[in-house]
Amino acid sequence: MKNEFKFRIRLVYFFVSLLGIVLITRLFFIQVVRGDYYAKEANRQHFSLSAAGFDRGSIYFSEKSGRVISAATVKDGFQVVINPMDIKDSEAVYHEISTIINIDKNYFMERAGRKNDPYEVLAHRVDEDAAKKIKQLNIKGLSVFKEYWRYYPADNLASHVLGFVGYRGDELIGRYGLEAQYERVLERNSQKSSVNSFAEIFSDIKKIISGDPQEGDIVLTIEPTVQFMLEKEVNKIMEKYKGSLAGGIIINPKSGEILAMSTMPNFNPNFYSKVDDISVFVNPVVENVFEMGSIIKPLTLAAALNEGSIRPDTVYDDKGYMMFDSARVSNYDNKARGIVNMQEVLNQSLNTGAVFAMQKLGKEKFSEYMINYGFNEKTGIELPNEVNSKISNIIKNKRELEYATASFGQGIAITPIAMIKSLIGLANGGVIMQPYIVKEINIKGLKNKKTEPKIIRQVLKKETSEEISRMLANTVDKALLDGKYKMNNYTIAAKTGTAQIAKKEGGYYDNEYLHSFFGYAPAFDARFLTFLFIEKPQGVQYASHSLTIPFMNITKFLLNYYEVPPDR
Amino acid sequence: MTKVIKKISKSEKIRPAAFKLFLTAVFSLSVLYIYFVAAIITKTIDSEKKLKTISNKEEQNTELERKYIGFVGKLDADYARANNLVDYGEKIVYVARYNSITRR
Repeated sequence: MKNEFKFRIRLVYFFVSLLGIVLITRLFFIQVVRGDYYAKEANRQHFSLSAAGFDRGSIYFSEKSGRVISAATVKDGFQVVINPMDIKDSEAVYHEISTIINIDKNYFMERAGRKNDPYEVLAHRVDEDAAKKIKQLNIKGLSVFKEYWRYYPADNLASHVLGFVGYRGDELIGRYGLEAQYERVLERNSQKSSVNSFAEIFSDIKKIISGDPQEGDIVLTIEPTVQFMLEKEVNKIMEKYKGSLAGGIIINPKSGEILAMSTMPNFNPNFYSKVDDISVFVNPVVENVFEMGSIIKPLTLAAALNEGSIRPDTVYDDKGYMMFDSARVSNYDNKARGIVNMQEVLNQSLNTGAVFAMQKLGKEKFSEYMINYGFNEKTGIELPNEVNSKISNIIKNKRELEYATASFGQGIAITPIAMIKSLIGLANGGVIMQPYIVKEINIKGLKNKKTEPKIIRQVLKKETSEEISRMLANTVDKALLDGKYKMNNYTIAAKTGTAQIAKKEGGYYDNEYLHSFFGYAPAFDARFLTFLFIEKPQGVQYASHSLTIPFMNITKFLLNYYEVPPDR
Repeated sequence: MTKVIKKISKSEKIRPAAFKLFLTAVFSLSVLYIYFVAAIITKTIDSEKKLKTISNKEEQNTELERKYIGFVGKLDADYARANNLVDYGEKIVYVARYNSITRR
């Protein structure tokens, strides 16, 4: 009995030993023979993937209904790869592949001829059907691999706002626009991001503790239908007047939410590498400054009204010009109008009237208001490379000429985004709001970060805002192209600007202008404020001729699209 | 361990039961191992299929969004006129009664 038991125990020991030998042999093969392979596989779980494993957060437009539409997403497909060392008959292989995908023969032969190279990419972004057919060919040395890339379904739409993802060295990162500004939110593959779930848990805990920005998707305030409409109008302006650039912004003056932002010429971020002149990637709405001209006049008059320095019926004697030492400041047509009131200053865009209002207000107060309008600070809009406006010549300057020219928008240079930020104060009861373009950031697994409207400062009294709106509505009803574009059932407040363009060496060009136009509707309960501009338009002198019709088209569209009830 | 085995091997009552328990444990562990490995493989295959379905749906979604955006871009006044939609704006009259505005 004892011997029988001992035999059984020895049998068990034998099988356990056999199992041990099997396991040790297996371990030897795994660790020693195939150690490198498994090390790479383990690394793939913990370290960044190549472009073949590219991933990125999405950016969305938001429709008026609240539904989101992809503005930037990740698309997948396949790349076709050959190992030239394994390709025996290049002609035959080319013949087989060319029936499935379009490849230039010279290109293929050149790649297939590189016999010292084990890896050559023949085609990118091949669809699944074609990839399946290529796989089914079962040709040695011919493979397909999955690949991912950044895709912008709307092509050129809001291209300056979105930017694009491109290579900087070996790294795929956001270049320009929101892709650059929110790189750390949108990136997915940098800094050893893991795909192994256990490693991911520790990686996420580390991020939370260290306070790193969370990965997420971005929802914009941009409404795609409104954006389309604005881009069409800006494009028509460019085509008709062949300016060097044109642009527009539509904003909700009560919240600061930007509904549309467009600049022409623009580009298709899906094909950014095909752009010849990279200056097109610059967004002039935030990166360029312009002398805006007469659209500054309502700000000057509003400041003077706010201080009680003038009233709408205050009059002055317009001689057509004013002298400041040896410098002459005149109306656009050099003509004198005699005794005119402040309404006529806006209706006829009189430079002398703006200077009069500034003088009544006083240089220091005028300077203070221009600073309070936000011209001495960046807006803080969520776009990269924003520049400061230039108003240093009206800060603690003794020369009255500088203040005089600034009162009608010359001699100071403002970014379009800073301009619209100041103008919304006229439309919404005198409040300067923070303009913003990012509505929400959807963080993975955590609470979303929503942008709330932010009041920067109250710059005008509510009554002043109403008064200036009344005056601007009067300008549209009676003066803008002789009141031809008055809308019977809606009050529209608007002003044009035709500014001379400064030379680098000083002085101004004779026949080069910046045309600008801003307006809001309904005038006393503004839902939208639109700002348009075109630099160096050809074949037209005044902004009223170039920008009135596009502005009215945009305003009519917005009033209908958002079903705004009539206000008169 | 050796002392325990020796003690068990000396005991007439415990020895058979211990041996049966040992064999049962080996058998159960083998069955559990095969079950879990099979379950992992099945789940992985299922997960791969689902990921592929999700990827296909996302691709369809991207394509549909692209078409939708393309269509939205066409909708303007020129498109409406080309489709014989008439502007009735001139025929609309707004009537104010008391504090409300209605459209006739």
